[in-house]
Amino acid sequence: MTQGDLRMTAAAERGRTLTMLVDGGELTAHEGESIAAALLAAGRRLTRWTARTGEPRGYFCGMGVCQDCLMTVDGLPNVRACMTPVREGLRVETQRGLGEWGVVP
Amino acid sequence: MRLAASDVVVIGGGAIGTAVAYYLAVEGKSVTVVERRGVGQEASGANVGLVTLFSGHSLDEPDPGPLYELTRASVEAYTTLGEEVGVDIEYEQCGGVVFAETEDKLATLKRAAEGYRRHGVPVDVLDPRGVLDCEPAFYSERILGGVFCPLNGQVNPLLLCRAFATGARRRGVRFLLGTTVQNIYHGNGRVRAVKTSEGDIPCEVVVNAAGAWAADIGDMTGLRLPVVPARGQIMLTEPVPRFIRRVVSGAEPSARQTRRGNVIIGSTIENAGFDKNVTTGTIAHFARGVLPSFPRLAGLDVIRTWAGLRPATPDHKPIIQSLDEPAGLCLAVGHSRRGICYAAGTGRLVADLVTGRPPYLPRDAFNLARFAPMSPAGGEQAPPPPGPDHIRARST
Repeated sequence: MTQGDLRMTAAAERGRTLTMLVDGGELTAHEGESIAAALLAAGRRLTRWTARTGEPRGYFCGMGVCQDCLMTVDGLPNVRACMTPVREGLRVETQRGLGEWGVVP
Repeated sequence: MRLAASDVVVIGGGAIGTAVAYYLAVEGKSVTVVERRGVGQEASGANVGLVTLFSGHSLDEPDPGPLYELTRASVEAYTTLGEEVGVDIEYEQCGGVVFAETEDKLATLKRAAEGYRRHGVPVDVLDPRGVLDCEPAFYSERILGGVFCPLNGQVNPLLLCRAFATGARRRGVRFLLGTTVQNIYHGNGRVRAVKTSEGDIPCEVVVNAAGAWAADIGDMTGLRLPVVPARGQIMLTEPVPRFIRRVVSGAEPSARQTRRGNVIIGSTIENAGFDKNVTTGTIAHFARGVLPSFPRLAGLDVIRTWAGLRPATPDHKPIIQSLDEPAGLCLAVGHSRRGICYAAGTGRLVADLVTGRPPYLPRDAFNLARFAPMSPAGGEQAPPPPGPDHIRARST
C-alpha cells in the first residue's frame, strides 16, 4: 500500500506526523490531512465495495458531496474519508456494503 | 368511447385496490383497475410498512375480532405472496413490542394481551427490562412495561403493491393508469358502467377502493361515505447496517429499519385536508423525539421526507361491504392507518362478497351502517382523533 509518497514536497509545510491504522496496518500521515488525502498520498484509491453489486468505490468529488468515499472509521460505518481529519491511532477500514457497527472508542 | 367490458371495475390502484383485483382474478373474474396516477402512489406507498397482529387496534378490540382476522388473513397471504408472483415484498415476521408509558395504557395492553392469549395468539407481557432487552437499539426511561408479539412484522409497502399488481396482470387484469373516474352509471337498482377519462367500461360490479378520495367516488352514486384524508408525515435516513431488529410501537415517533438499511421515522395523524406538504416543524419534532429512544441515529443523514393521505373513518376501522342499493356496488374504503395490515384480508373478503360464497368474516363486520346517518351533504366531518400509538403534530 505504501509504495512511495505522492505528496508534493516543494514549499509545503505539514503538521507533525502521526500513525493511524488502515485495515490493521500502520500508516504515517500528517496532522491536518483528511483520511482521503493520507490514503491517496500512499497510493491507495479504494475506500469501499458497494452494497448491491460489490463494485469498488473511491474518491470522486473529494469535498463531501458525492458520498462515494465512505469508510468505517473508529467503528462507525459510512464516514466520509474526504471530510474526516486524521488523528493519532485512528482506525480506518475499507468498507464492504454498508459495513458493520464496530466498537466505538 | 366505449372500452371492453369487465365483470368488475376496481377504482383505485393502491394496496387495497390491487389486492382486491388480485383475489378477484384468482376467482376467475375479469377485472379492470382504474387508477388516477400509478400503482401505490398515494397512502399505500407513503406509509411505514408495519404488519402488526397485536397493536393499537388490539386496544379497542381486547379479544381477537374482525380486525385481527383481517390482519391474520393478510399475514398468511404475505408469507407466500412473494413466491407466488415472483416479487420479493421484503416481508419479515421480525416480532414486535408495544410498550406503555402510562399505567392506563399498560392496563389496557395487559387486558388485550390476556384476551389474545386466551385465543392462542402468542403474546408475552414484559416488564420494563424485558421491553429494552427485546430491542437493544431502543431506550426509554419512562417505560412501565409492554407486550411482545413474535408475529408482528414489516413489509415494503411499495413492493407489496407491485406484487399484487404483477400477480393481477398475470391473471389478465387490465390496468388503466393515469385514468380518472368521472361517473358511475347505475339504473334499475344496480351499477351498469364506469365512465372514465379513457371511455366507458360496462361492468356488473364496481369496487370503491379510492383511499382518501373514496368519498368523491361515493358521491357518484349518491352515497355519503365518512372517509376523510388524514395526513401522515415520514422521514427516512441514509442506509446503515441493521441495528433495529424488531418493530417497536408506542414510541413517539417510532422507527423501523428497512431491508436496505434506511430507518423510517414517523408518523403523524393530522387533519390537513388534501395538503400533502411536509412541515419543517414536524420533521424537527421527529428528529428531537426519536434521538433519545434510538441513540444510534445520532449523526445519520436524513435523505428524504414525505407525507401521505390516509383514508380515515370516524372509528379508524374500514368499511368493507357489498351494497344492496345499487346492487353491484362494493366498498373497500376507510382503512385509515392500517391499509397495509388489512390489504390482503380485504381483497379476500371482497372476493368472497363478489363471488357470493360465504365470507370468511361476518358479512356485517365492517358495514357502513355502524355510523350514524351522515350529516347532510356539505356537512363537515370531524377531524380524525390521534391513534393510540401516534402523535398529533402541529403543522408549522
